[in-house]
Amino acid sequence: MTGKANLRNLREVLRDEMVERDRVAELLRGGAKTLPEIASALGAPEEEVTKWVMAMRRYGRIHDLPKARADDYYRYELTGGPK
Amino acid sequence: MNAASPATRYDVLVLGAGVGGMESALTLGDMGYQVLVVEKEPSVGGRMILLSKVFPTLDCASCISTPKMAAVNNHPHVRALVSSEVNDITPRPEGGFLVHLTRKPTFVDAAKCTGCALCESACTVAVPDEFNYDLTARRAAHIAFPQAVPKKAVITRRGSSPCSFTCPAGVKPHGYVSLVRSGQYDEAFRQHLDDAPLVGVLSRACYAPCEEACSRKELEGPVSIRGIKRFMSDRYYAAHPVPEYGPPSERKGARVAIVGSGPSGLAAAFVLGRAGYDVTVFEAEQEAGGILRWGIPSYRLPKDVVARDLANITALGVKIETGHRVTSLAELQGAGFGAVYLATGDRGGRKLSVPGEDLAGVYDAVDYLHELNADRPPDFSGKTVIVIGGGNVAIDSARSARRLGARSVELFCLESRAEMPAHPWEIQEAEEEGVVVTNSWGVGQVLGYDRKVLGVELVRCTSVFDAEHRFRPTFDSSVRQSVHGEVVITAIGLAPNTGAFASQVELQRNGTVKVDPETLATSVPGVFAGGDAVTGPAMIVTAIGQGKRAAFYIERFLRGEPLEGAKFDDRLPEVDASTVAAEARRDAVPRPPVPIPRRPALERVTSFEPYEAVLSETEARTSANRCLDCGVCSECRECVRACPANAIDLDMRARTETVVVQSVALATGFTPFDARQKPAFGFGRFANVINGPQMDRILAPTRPFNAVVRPSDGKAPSNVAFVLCTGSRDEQVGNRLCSRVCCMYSMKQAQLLLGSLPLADVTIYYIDLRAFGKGYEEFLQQTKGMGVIFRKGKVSRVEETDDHDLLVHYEDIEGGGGSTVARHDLVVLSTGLLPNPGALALFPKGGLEKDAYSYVREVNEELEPGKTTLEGVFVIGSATAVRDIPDTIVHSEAASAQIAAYLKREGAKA
Repeated sequence: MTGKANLRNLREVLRDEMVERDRVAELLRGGAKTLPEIASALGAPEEEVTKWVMAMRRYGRIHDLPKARADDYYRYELTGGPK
Repeated sequence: MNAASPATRYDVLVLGAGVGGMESALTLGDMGYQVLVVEKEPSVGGRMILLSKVFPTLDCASCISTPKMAAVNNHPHVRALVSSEVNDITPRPEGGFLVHLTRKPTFVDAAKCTGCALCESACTVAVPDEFNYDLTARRAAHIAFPQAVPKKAVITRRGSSPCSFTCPAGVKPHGYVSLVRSGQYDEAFRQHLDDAPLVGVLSRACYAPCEEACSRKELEGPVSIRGIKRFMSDRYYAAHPVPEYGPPSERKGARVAIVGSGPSGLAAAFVLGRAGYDVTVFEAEQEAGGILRWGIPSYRLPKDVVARDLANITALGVKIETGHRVTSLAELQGAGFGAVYLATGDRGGRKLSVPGEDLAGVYDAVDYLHELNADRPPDFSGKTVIVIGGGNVAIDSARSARRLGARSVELFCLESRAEMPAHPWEIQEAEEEGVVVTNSWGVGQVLGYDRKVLGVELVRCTSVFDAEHRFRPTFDSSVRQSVHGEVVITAIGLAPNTGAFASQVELQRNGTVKVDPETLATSVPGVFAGGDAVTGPAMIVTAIGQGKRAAFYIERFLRGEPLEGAKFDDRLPEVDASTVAAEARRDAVPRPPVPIPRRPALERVTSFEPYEAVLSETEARTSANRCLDCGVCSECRECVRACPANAIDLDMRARTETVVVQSVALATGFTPFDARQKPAFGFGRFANVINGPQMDRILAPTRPFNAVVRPSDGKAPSNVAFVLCTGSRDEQVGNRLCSRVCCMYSMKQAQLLLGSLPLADVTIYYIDLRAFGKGYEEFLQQTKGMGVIFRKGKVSRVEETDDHDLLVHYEDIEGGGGSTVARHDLVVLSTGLLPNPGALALFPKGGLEKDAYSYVREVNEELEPGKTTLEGVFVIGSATAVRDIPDTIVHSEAASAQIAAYLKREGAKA
């Protein structure tokens, strides 16, 4: 259990997507990954990576793969959509 | 009602287009009344359209809302204005109300926009999506939500970003910085070129007022805007050694003469050449560029950069005639030039007017720098050089002298250090290079022997400016000193190069050309003037701005349009940098500036090679990512390029309308409770503590995520808690009222959760359950039957574990009492509704009463629902009390009947 600090400034986190999306895309060129896997590879907080990946999904850069009911996490892959 | 010329009189103004407002507008419209609906958001639909489903029927919220939204937008008796706000409502003595409203600019022509959303994909600015309650990002250019009515894009603009507002050349640094941040380097260069030419020059030699204005300056230091420009400029020119374009195919058939090829003349030539005019630039020197070519030392501005920038201008078909000194305006006009732009800059330095100024070894700084740039440098090897002056030219002269091998260089100026016109950083760099700066001395005389300089006699300067900050130096003649020197360079100011035209256009007493400050028109029709010839010595960007302004009015002149009335500069107001910085400071991680590498001082004085390195790609993007997006939209204009319908209009501005209405229906809805007011629950601190509206978005078909996942890491939650009464029935936050919705919507969400995640555990923490409406009790029993756990217990606090799970501390009222802790992987705070006080402020003070809870007061809610304390003003739904959707609709219909009766009565009176 921890007494966590506040989440980082939301606007700042969302702005970072414009830079970090290239790193995410580069990573996913190696195959589909879950959010924790992406966060671990980038060395970035999971909640921030979630924001970036969901925005990338919204704007057609990546999409999710079907997951088995027992799986905790979805995997995401590049769509080949807008760069 | 959506006719070309909208009406100015209506029977009813409905303020707010949520479910209550829509219902009322449609009912009254169906009765034949003329209804004006004003909604501040870009779509009608209010908050209901953002819900997943509605209780207790679990009908799809969109399926219920969207037909009403479309009906409101298309009803023959209803005019629906979105992105609009009512400013004030004033009762008229003769009856009815005078209403002033503002149509907020959306920066998209709704008539052209097809809702294709290509602008969204192209946009380079990410901001929190308010329609998804900040769970995800949207773009500055966006469509509010997928079912928006009307489905039109809008662009969020808070104003002009300080960097863009400040640039005198009209360059939009925010635009190209956001493009570099996105990795779109060529687009960044082209966006700058679209705004102003001489990108390479400015990337090296601009004094960057944009950085002074940058909001980030108030945090760790400004964004390195010029460094970013240098990166994109160098990269672009390396890839494009010659321009990508040629002259425009459409020609205007008119000729323009530009006198002078400095930054102002070149900027005018660029704008006019691009517009298809036949432009000839006349330059007295043998090479074009003016001060860029002949005034700035190459360690600051290499000449090949100037040449490449010039190619961008001549590629448009602009002719530059060098070695051609113009002395007669009449000759130019006689030669068929329809307009002339005088951009002759400065002719040379002002004189000291002291004895000894004509001795050998005394140099005028402008002449000296000219010779230096003409590869005819004087021999300063081993000499002691004295520079007089405290401005940029003095600093350039001193630093160049060091590079010419001077044994020592000492700079004297009238000003104190703080008053020096030169920029602090260039003074510092000069000192690093060995220039000794000595302040508060004036020159009494230049000392010499045998016609050669021996030094200067200096007099103590006691003040430089008078009380009105005019240049009026005063001296203490009793304090003097003599300083030895073999070379004296005077750099005490520049004089305008206008002498040749003194008898042809009206000049000011200081020799600058007299012009209309807006149009830059001179006393001679068809002759315009700008740049240093008008402003006196100024920055390159100021000169470029003058050139662009002149070109704008020259075009109007050549088209035969009046110069008056047109607006060259129509920027949005500047965003307050301190406000942006304060917002950015909250929960931010410091991001210090990326330093621009510079060669060591001792190394850089050995040559005239540039000493500043270019940022790497990573450094440039990291720098660009420090931008705070002050104005939200960056004006990068990628949306303009992407829009196939040509619908983007960044020049759109707010419009006001005045209408007369017979009655007013306030359907302004509620304000959601901000769960941050309960800090012990962790909202805003823990990623997996969300509020009820956010949960509804996650469950909705148009959800922000791909599935029901938790925000911290995308995990499908398996153990979800709901905390009822968050911010309701709570004296601690000043809200005694029951929300009337959080029990039911939490049960709805629990049921939907189990539909998505059948294996999940769902717990509802409650004080007591209120299922008061038709079918509500059955819904409660159905929820229990699905296996949702109801835990009677007051939650005291929530803590987060290392894996983002949450520990809910609660008083276990029915399970034996005492404080208990339960672990969940997602916590939903079932927040309630608060009054929206906005409507009250629209009326004259005291005109509309509120009740004890700050809702709009109904005079008799049992007998005359919706009737307020102001005759002719009615209130609908949750603007007058907390209500769920069925109650809001019932109340809306009841109020509509009151409104109809009122209109009938008033009509009968008339």
